[in-house]
Amino acid sequence: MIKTSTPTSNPISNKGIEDFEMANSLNLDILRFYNTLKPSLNKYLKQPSDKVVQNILDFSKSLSN
Amino acid sequence: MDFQTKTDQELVHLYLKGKELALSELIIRHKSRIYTSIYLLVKDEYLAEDIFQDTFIKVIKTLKAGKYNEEGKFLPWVLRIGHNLVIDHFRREKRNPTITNSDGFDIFEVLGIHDESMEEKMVKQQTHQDLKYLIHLLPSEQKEVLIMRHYGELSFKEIADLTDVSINTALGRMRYALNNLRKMMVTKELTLKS
Repeated sequence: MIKTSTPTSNPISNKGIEDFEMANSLNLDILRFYNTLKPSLNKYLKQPSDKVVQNILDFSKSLSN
Repeated sequence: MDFQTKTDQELVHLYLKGKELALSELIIRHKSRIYTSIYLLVKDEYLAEDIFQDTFIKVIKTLKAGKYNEEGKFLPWVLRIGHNLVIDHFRREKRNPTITNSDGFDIFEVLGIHDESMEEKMVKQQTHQDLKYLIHLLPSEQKEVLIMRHYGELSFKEIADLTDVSINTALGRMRYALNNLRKMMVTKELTLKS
């Protein structure tokens, strides 16, 4: 059984949700849902490996030389 | 020189004047959002890294050639390049991204949740796995808008330009994406615990 919770924060107070066009387009119910979804979505943020970043920087330096 | 306080535009100018560290700062600043946006579309870590690298190689070549449009913002411009490379990839492969197998990554496994019970931990992991699965079930155009909006932090105007649709269409796709996610979560009796 998955535990449930009710969002307590104001759904239109967060960054992004303040986006005028979005706030006008989506109803409050959907905005509240998106607000609840955000923390989970943020956990998908991933980083490329250091090696890839270094490859890019090396490529740039090779063009400068 | 303190690169961290510079705007993207200032960093681009510094880079063009030969300051390699300015490019490094731009990558550090935006790598997570750019890489995640690519990864969630291709669902493969190694492929996402290849496309991320190709994206910046194209960025560097364009900057060095003096073809960067100063009027545009740096991040949406880079995301546009990455997005186009993803499309190019799938065109070459002639396959639909929605049927690509996941590489099974789960960042939640490395999150610090040591003070939770094993049951709570398992529930949370399952919830996030389910959410990731549900996102991938969304129609590709809805998933794209959700990723660009949330991870790329693009405005709907920028998303509309990038995907060649009207702003209203981009907004509509976001609304459908959220509605569909919510419906699927109800069906699966899945509720997020903030």
